[in-house]
Amino acid sequence: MSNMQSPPPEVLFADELAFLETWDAGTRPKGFRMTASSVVTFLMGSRGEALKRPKSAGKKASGPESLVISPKFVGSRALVERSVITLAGERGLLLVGEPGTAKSMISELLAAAISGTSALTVQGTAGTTEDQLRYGWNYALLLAKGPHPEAIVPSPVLTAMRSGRVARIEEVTRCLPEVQDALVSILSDRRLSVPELSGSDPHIEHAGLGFNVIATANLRDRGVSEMSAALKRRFNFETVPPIASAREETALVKARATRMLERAEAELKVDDAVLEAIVTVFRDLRLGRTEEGYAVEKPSTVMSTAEAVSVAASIGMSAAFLPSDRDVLGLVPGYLAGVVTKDDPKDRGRLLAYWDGVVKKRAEGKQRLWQTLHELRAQLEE
Amino acid sequence: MQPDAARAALSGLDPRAAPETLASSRAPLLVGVRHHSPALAAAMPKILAAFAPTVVLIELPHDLAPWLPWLGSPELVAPVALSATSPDGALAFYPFADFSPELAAIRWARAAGVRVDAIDRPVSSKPLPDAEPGAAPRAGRLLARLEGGDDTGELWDTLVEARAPGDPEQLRRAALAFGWLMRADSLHGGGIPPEDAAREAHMRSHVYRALATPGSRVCAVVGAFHANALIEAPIVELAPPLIEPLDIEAASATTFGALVPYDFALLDARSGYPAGIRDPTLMQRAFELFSEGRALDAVIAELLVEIARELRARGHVASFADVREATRMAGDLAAIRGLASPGRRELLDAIESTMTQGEPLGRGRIVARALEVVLVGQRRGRVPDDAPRAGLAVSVNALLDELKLPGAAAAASHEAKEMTLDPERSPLDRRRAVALARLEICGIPYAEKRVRGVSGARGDVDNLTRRVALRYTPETAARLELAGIFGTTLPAAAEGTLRRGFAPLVTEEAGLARVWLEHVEQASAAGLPGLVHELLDRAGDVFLPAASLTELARAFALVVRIERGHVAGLPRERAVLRGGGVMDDVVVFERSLVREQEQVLFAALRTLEGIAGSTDEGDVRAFVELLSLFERQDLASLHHAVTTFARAGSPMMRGAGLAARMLLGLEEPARFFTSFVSLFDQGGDDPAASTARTATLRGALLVGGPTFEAYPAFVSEILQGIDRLDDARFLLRLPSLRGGFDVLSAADRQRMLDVIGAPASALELPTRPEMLAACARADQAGLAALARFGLMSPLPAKLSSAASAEPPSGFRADHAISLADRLRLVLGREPSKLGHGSLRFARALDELYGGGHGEGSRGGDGGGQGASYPTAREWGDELRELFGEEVREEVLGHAASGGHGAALALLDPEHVTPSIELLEQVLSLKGGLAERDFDHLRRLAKRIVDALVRVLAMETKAALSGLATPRASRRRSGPLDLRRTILRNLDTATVEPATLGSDASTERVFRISPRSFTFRARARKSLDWRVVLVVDVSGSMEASVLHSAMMAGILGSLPAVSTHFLAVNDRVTDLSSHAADPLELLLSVNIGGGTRLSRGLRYARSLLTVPARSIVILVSDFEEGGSVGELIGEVMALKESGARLLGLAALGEGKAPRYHRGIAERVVAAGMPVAALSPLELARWVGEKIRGGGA
Repeated sequence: MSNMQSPPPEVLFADELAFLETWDAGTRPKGFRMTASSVVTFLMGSRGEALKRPKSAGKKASGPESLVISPKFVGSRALVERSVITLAGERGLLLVGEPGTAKSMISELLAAAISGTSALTVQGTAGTTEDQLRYGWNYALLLAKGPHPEAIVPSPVLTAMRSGRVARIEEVTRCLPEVQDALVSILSDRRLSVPELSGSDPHIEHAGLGFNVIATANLRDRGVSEMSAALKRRFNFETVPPIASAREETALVKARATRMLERAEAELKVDDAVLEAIVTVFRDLRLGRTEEGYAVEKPSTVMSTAEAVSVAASIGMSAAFLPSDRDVLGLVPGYLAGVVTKDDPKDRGRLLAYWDGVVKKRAEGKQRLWQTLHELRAQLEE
Repeated sequence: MQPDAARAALSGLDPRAAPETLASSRAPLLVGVRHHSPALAAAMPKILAAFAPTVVLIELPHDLAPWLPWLGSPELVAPVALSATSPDGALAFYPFADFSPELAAIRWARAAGVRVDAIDRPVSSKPLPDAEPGAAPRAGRLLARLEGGDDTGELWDTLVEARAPGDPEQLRRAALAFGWLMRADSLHGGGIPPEDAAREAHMRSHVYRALATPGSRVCAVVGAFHANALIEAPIVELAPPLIEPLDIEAASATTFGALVPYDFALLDARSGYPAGIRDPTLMQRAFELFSEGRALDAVIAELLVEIARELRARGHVASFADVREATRMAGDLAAIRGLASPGRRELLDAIESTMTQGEPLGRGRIVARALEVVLVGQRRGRVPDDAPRAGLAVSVNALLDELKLPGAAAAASHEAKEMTLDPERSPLDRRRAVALARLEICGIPYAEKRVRGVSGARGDVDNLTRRVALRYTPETAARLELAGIFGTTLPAAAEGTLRRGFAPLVTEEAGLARVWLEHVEQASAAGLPGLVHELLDRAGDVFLPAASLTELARAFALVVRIERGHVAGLPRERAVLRGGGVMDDVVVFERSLVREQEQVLFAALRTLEGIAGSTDEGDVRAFVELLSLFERQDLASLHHAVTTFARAGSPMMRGAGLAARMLLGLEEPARFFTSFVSLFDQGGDDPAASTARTATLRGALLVGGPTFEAYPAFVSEILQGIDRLDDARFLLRLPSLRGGFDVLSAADRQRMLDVIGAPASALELPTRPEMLAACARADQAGLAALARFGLMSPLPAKLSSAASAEPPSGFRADHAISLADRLRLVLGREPSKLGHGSLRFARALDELYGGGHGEGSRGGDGGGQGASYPTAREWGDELRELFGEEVREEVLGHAASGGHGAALALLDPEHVTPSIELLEQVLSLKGGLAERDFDHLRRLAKRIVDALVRVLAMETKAALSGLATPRASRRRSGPLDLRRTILRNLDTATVEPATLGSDASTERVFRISPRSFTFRARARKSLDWRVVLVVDVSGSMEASVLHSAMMAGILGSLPAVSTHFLAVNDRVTDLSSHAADPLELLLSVNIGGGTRLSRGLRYARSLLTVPARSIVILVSDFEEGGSVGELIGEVMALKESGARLLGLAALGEGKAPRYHRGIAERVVAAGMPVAALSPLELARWVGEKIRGGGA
């Protein structure tokens, strides 16, 4: 585990998972490793309380008698509840939302809690083929032996079906539509027929209890393929919103940026006030409305938390590796302009309007940091 | 309870262990309620019957007690509402439905013959100051966190409603526990607001007085939050003084308050009404079920089925599978949340997951509307026949008497009373104006505005006085009765009407910005500060993002007028009100609007981007206003926008941008004027170039016009520029120059002439005319001689007549028209001072431009004074003679498009230069022509269309031809092509002993080790594509319509494509049968009317048989006149069907489109890319799609 750059949740939270599996003796949905409410608790945490293992769990349960479950997802509990309930049913779960809203994290956590693994994953790209969602062939075996069940190379989805676990499909909308549609029959019939093997006896792979699919999609990004209506109807949709509170987002940006710098063995030498300003600008432009309630024009670029992290980290890197007398604040407008104006030239006008309206207003409000930012306006212009 | 104590109590709190004292109290028995609670309403009769009280006390203002008998009447059908007006003018509103616990209690008491009393603080008592700032509102933040719910309503649902139907006593305890928690939380957060404290003291006194009666059994039905306050302190401390003296009889039921029928739509919180709740129909069903002792899950499936049906009725997919999945989810969610049965929250959660498909704006909105229909419902109440009628008519009549306006007594007279109102000076008139505005809002016919004189360009909003004719008719009386549902006093009724008008629009979003603006205007004219506050607060949500520049300019003007106290209904200071009798109905408006002004300005700044391609002078005027507002501010974004205009805008916006750059100091005045004047002599002379020149001049002059004179550079540049042209070119350019300067008012042009003309007249020789004539004749003779010897080109022929008839006043040969005359001609002023020859030119052009407009256009020495030509033909001849053929066609074309029908007849089909602009002009006339002229027009149009189509087809057909061939591929993109793979790799074949299978030892197998694999790529069918052009023909889109029609013709001639052409304004006209013939198409289209794009798209959807091979192209400026939500829904539905979509903000050669940015962005988000394309680019796009490049 120590040599993994980013251990999966089933490794990272192995003790919590093991504890929760025995903690609640209520009825579990078919194929779940724990009850539905325990899954919710796993994601949302136990509010700092130590959960106690009931006596009824008996001696066979090992591990600690009580445990505090850490919160892993900052957001709406109802969203998690709905997601878990969806997975207990007959439709797949599709998490949609802008980049950087923790869709993948939720999907990993859910899969780990429900099936004990988040590894049955297909990464959707424009080059993803049907084989990766259904099955492929071991060609050597195929040619040698002819069509034979042993020659099937199962996809992660087929593996999940066979073992009754949850499969994850990341960025499903990046797959071509005809490739996506391979999921339709899997999700509606919960079985997969292999026509190549139908010579004597139809070969059908049946999904075990507990099988389901969590897909994530980013519906706003460029280069996505529209999902077909048929496939949409096989999913329940959950929109994952950006982080609601500015304070939490700032904390998250700080933590992530610090981690990124740690990998480069550097220290994040950026003021909290500067981080706060970066997050504020991102939030204002993302929501189209400032903290003070001014409406601003949203740029066509996605102003995600992930982008804020990368701006913060870049500024941190500059401060660490290219130290100069200049205030790091001076770097902010340049990086912002880089983020905002990458898609559409009109976005520069929008950023300038933001500077003229909101930043100017704040500068007039005698906020020194914003005064400095306003003075740096020239950096935004071409 | 002190905050500290509360905090202590809360630290180890178990919400379900309700304080026993509350629940066990029997003197009084406490029933803590929420005002709308199906669970408690259903349980109420059982609770009361079990306790058998002698008196039931209800939390309702004491002075409304006289209404209790009618509320309990069996004839009453809920929902109804009691309304009353408090002394501060606020409307107090108490709606009752079957699921109101209070109404259930009143009904039970009436049936059981038990006394009921209303015990809350009277509406008529003095309002208390608001809570200290910083004091927490009564929100259960802490508890919400404890329970994981998001708001108090959900907490109530979880704690109380979810237990129904259960033991009534358990429900009562749960509700009391809820109230206790809320109270504890409130104390924790900052204490009880003074208003609540006063009300509770009042209620407490009533309770103790009732208890003082020997043998009484008292039951108090009050808000759960207040229940605690009724039993806490000993009786002695809080006795009588707290009951404020009140003479109930004096506040008689007829004049104070009213019982009005209500309906579910009003009851719903989304209607904008105070005291609203969510989803009345759901509540009603729950109440009915609970009363029968059944749980809510019985109706969940039923409601879901109805919602799915409603969705299907709107043309969207919602299957049985969706309903089944949603039902399952609702049940399972209830289980995971520890509830006995799913409630409202679970129902909504389940619908969100299963039906909205992650698209809150598209499908989500449609689902929300279906939900509203099903869950809000239509039920309407009825008031007992013998209940007093609504009080509005009474109070309005009293008001009219007070204001000395004709009232009901004057109804007999048929004469209207005319009066002039001067709200600025007379406080009485101010009150009258406000009252009339309110009546108008309520739709009560009474006052009629009399327009006097000529109103200014900005309408009569700034006129100081206004004249009205007043008449009280039977219809006035009838309408008053109807408006009574919204309130019992005029301000309340007006506010109610406005609110009701606004609320549904917020979900519809049809022209929301305009509606918002109108509402603010009306509400401020009608003196409804509360509503104005609210609307202003919502500006950021509903107005600013969607408003056009013109609307923003209008909003800014309004806000400034309010700020300065110029709006009759919203005086800024008390002084204005003094001396006019009772002034309670006009409230001083104390809000500072500086922030709103800023917001509007910033929003305006952001909309600039959308008007870069505008050809509407209204946009330039709004832009000018914006410029003046930002004058002293150094704004990079404004500079950016202005520079964009100057670089890439439409000709008019380019002019505006150039002038604005100069005014903003981004360009040296001298340089600007050089480029301004270079417009005079640069560019081509074809009609398109001259139209563009005119537009650019107009744009620049609109922005800077009258201020240009102040720059010395302007004068010298203009003089040089005009002087640079020789006569022939000057005359060629004259119409377009005159057209450009015509944008200025006559007086402005005169002033400009005075300024520039001064140095110009100095150039005229101060010699006697006879002398000059002789010189000129000599000159001319000399010139003619030179020409004869080939030493100089002859004088332009057209000039010869002018020159020979009269001596020229200048002295250069190719400048026979003097500089001063040239200026007069360009500016269209002082025709009397023109030399005779020049006068003819002026007269010919005056026929087109008339005397101009605005200040100075009447009287004075302007253009348009001379007699007009006897016939259009003479004019045409004169034009030909003076300016030549090309200019003649151009001027006549302008005249034709200006409504000069006869000019059209003069255009010669053979000689006319085909251009989109001309075609536009020709077609715009087709409606108003006689049969004979129409034939001429048809020939004219045919020639133009044919010529244009020929050119266009040449460009575009190449882009449309050619098809891709499907074949086997080495890319791993489909199933393995086993046969081909083996064939390709036969050379690697070996024969080996088998290693697999059971009898491996003997068998030998043939083995291939493939080096490369072949896959079957998916072939695409390229035949039989369907292209549907949905073309917005609503007035502002002419050029695009013409291009669309021609593209339809070209596409229609392709073999593999079937083309449909739908013209959309308020109606959809399917012109597909004419699609192959552009002329026929254009003659069938009626440009004008409103815009209902959604209808066009819906019809387009019905045409698609194989959506995957269909292309829907929507040509529009996206100024949807109908519901935007519906439009988005249609776009999504089309997208979902799999058709290829394209929105064209403009189709034509011009690059910069004009479109409604807000709506277009949402259309893009819904899946229809929006662009402005030239026909060639469109052809390329269509070709790519058909050839399969755009999967």
